Amino acid sequence: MTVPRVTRRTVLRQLAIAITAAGSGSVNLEAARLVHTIAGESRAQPGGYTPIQLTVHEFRTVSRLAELIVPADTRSGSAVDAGAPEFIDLLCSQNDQLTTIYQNGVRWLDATASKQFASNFIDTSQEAQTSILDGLVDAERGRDSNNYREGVTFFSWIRRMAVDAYYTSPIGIRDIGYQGNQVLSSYETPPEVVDFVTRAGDDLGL
Amino acid sequence: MSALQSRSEIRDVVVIGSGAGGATVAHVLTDLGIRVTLLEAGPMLDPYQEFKEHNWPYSYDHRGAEDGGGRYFGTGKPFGFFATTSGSWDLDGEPYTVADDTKDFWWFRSRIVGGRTNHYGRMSFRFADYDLKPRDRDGLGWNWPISYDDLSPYYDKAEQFIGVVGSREGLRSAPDGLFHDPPPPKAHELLIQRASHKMRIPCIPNRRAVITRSINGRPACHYCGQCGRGCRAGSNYSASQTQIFPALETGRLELIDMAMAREIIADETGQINGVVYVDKRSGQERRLSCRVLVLAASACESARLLLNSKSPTHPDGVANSSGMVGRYLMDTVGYDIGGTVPAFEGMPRYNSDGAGGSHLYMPWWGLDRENELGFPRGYHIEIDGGYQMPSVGMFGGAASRAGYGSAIKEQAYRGYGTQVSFAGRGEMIPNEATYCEIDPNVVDRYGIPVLRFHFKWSDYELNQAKHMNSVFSELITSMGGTPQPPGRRDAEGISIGGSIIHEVGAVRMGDNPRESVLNQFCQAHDTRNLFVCDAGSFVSNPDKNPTLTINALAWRASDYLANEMRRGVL
Repeated sequence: MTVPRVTRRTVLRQLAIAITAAGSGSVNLEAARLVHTIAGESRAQPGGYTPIQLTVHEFRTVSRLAELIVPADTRSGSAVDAGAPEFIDLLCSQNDQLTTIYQNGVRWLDATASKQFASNFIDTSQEAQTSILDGLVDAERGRDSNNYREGVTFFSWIRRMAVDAYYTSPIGIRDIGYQGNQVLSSYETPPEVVDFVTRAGDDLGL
Repeated sequence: MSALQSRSEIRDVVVIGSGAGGATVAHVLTDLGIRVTLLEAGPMLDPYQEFKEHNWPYSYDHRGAEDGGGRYFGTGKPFGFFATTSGSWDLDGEPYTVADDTKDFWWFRSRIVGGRTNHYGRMSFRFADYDLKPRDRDGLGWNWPISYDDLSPYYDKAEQFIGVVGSREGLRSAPDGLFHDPPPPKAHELLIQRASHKMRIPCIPNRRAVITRSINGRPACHYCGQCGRGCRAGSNYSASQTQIFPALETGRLELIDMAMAREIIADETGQINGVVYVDKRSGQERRLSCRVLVLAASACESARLLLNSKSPTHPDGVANSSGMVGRYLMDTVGYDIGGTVPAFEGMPRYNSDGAGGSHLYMPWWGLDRENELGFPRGYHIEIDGGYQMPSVGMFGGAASRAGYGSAIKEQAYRGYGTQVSFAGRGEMIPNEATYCEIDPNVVDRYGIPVLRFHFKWSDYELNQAKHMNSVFSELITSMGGTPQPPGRRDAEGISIGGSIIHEVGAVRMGDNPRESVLNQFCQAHDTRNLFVCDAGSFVSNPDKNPTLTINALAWRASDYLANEMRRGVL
């Protein structure tokens, strides 16, 4: 092979030169926007999802947990709104080790709920469900009065993945306040931000 | 040599490797009207298909955790899913070995047109005058056969062509160049700068290979901060987009990709005839004849190729009558720590992406204070922080502190943008215990003998890394922050050899053919028609990231080579 695939680049260059020649003064922005249009590939979240790896019961349990871990509230939607259960199901379908973690985790959760509340986790009350999560957090922090140690690994996996799914979604990105990934013609740190840091520096005696 | 397919044509110049060195040679020579054939061991790069610039994590069902959640299991891509195609520490079927005397060594290999310049940090620092004569200062290592005055015009050319932001500061440790206007500091950098100044450490606009005004048809930076993903617009320097693609348009560059060089062929007088390579697609060997051969395969790959090319006139490998090929390999001293700075809590959100990388950095400030500091040579500090694009793993700490529920959102919101980190990059002194050689027992999937590495930090480097730790900790605590323990790479108090990906030396230049492989023009002492234009020629490894100096040295060698061809000497 000796022929490079540079056609689009060449087109872009010529376009950039043409725009400059036309004197619009916005060559950078226009050229950059063009390439980013070529690049654009955002996807809508799928609706009416059928799990591909987890059983329906496991998927429902994972969904309920994701909702408790990152709930909808006054600031924003939940991890379920952000697609966490689908994300977890997909990765499980590609990784047996992960599937085992989730299968064992759901089994442990149901066994624990049955023992204490005589039903599967998703069929217990919200109060019962949060009491199990409280116990898991305690166990994670070394205060394991319920002997929940066995569930902690699973809990930290689903929390990690639910949180990741949330913050990598449009909902989470808006919530956290990330304002970048833009095409700008110049960069500036806004004056109110500079003022904030200046005050912080003064307060610290720097 | 079985199944050797010869091509009767004799090429003028064959270049092996398409990174910063090889691409500079290809660009400069084709510009001067010389025909060049470039071999690259990986495939052609297609920025439109491969770069993930501007894509959101939710553009992918795995959100950047990679298939099967590879990131969670430590099997993801080296710099994350979104990082541009470049290479890896582990290449399928292309092993290397680490000698028993060595704890660990990592060797990053790139297999793609443009090489590591597709992903690199783009820090672009000139060596200082004293960096080229280090032995004169402290009696350690060796002097280069060139001075700053020899190199400076080529830094000018390289900076003007590739484009580097920066500011004129008049510091001896950080010579000024021909700069594009730098972007203003980011908010967290303003606080870091005050902490830095309190410690009497300069903190100045960074020097990176990004353009802030349009040049050569390349649009100016559009401040998305995603240089590491590859820039489709070509507003940062990559050898592929900045040099190789335009050189291809001249019609004077022939590019052969998926070509793994196996052996250099010399005639009975010792002159180079050509090179044998493996076409990775067909598995077949092919031979190219040439007037001049330029190695730019990376310092260690070039050493490997020389050592693997034995013949009656070159019994210890091509250009190795000195026995110096493979010797005095160096990496950069690395030590990174981060910390949480609560002073940033409550700061108004803003777009802090900027021009990619940090907008400020700290050049070496301890010149001539070596006795007091307890180690020779210096380091610079790279900084990081700000409101970065949310990604997999970013809020794990906040989540585990909060437990579960809405508290996670509150913790994450409060902590976002309060992380800063400092990366020290310092000079390693070449030593006898650090070198590469051919492993007699291991070959790669093409049957080519592989390299075995020996690597040892000395107290010079260990003491320097300790100093970095105390300086970075003080910077963080003076901002009211809490330093965190270093990560895996720095767990022993200094980076693992090779992990900074600044391996240089092993084919060093010098005036004395008994002590060096190359002359000051990167030309082999033993064979006039062989050049090495990657970082193999480095005599020392100052605290200035190597790429800009690779560009400058390759440009200088190319001018010399073209002149010698014109004179009919080559």
